[in-house]
Amino acid sequence: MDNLIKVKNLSVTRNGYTVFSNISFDLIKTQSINIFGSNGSGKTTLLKTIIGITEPSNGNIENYNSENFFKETIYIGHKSGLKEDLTVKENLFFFQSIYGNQNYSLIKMALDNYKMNSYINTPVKQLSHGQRKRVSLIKTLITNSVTWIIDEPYSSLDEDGIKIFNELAQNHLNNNGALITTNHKPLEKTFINNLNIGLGC
Amino acid sequence: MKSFGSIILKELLLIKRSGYESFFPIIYLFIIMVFFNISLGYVEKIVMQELVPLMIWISCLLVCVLNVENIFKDDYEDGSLEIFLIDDKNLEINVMAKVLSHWLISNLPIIFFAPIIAIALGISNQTSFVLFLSLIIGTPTLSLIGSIAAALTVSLRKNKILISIIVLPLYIPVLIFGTSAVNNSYFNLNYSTELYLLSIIFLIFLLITPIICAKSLKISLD
Repeated sequence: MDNLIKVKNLSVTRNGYTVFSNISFDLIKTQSINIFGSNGSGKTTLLKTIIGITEPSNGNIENYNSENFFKETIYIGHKSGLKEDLTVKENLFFFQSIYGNQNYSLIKMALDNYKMNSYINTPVKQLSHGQRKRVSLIKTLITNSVTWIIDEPYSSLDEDGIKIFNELAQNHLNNNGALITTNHKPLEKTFINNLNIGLGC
Repeated sequence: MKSFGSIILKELLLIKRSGYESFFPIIYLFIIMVFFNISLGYVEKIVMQELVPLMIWISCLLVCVLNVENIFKDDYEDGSLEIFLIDDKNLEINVMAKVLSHWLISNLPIIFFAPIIAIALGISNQTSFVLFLSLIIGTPTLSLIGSIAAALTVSLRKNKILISIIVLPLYIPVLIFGTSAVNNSYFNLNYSTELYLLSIIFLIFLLITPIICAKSLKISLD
C-alpha cells in the first residue's frame, strides 16, 4: 500500500489561540512534504501532532500502518536527542537498540555518508553545532523507517551537509520512503516529488 | 524487552561518565549518621541503638529525593523523551527501566552497606538482616513514588523543592513500616506484618507508576 499518513482538517488550539487550522494532506511513498512558515507559525506543533505527542483540537490523523507506527517512522526533533557524555558511536548504538536492531556496519556506513567517521569515538560534547546536527540526521540511516519526520533539517548545517542530506533523502524517496520536513521557506526543485504546505500564510 | 536492558545500560554509563561513583551514597549515609550522632550525643547508648534504623531509613529517603529530579529531566532537556513518547507500546516499560536505573544508582549501594553500619553500631545480626530486608522491599517504592513526582514536574525549571514537597509526605507510610519492622526485630517482636505491608505498598506503586508517569510525561510534553 502506498498510503502512509492521511491528515484531515487538522487544527490545534492553545489557550484560545489557534496555532494552525484545517491542515489536510496525504503522505504517500516516494513523496516529500515540506511544511513551511515563519517563526511561531506552528510547524513543530504540526509535526508533534502527527507523531502523537500533541493532541489535535480538531480533525484526525490516520496512520495506515498504525500497528507498527514507531518502527516505521523516525522523528528527529529540534533538540538533538544526543547524550553529551556519550560518544557518537554509543549514542547511535543506544538509539538503534530502541528500534530493536543493533547493526554496527549500518552505523559505520551512515557515518561515512555524512563524513563523520573520524568522530566515531568522540564525545558529543566536543562536537560543533553542525556536527551534532549531522549525527542527529545519521539516525535516519541506521533504522529501517519508511517515514522520516524531521524538524528543520537544514538548520546549523553547512552547504556540504545540506547537499549530503538532500542526496540521501532523495535516495530514500526513490526507495519507496517518505519524508516530512519543516522549513522557513518552500523547497524548490530539491526533491522530485515534493509538496509545499504553508502555515500562517 | 531489548530496549529495557539498553536503557539501564545507557543510564549506568551516563552516570559513570558524569563523575558519579557508586560509593557516593555510602559517603552520604556516613555523613548523615555522623550528624545524627553529633546532635544526639547526650542520649544514652541504648536509646541511640534504637534510633539507628530510623537514621538509616532517613538517609535513604534523602538520597532518593536528591536524585529523583534527574529521572526524566535530562531526557526532557536533550529531546530524547520525545522518542520515548512516540514508542507508545513500550512507554511503560521504558519508564520502568528509568525507575530501576534510579534505584540501582541511588539506593542499592546503601542497602548493602547499611546492615554493616548497623552491626558496627552494636545492632544484632538478626535486626541488621531485617533492616536489609526492609530496605530491599521499601526503597524501590521510594524510587517509584519519586518518578511520579519527577514526571509531573519535568517541564518546570526549578522543580527540586516542589518534588520534595510532593514526594516526602508520600514516603511516610514506607518510613513507618520500614522502621517499625526493624524496631520490632530489635525488641524481639513479630516484624513480618510490616514487611508484608511494605510489599503491598510496593506492588500497588509498581502497578500504577508506569501508567501515571506515561500519562504525566505526555501532558508535560504536549
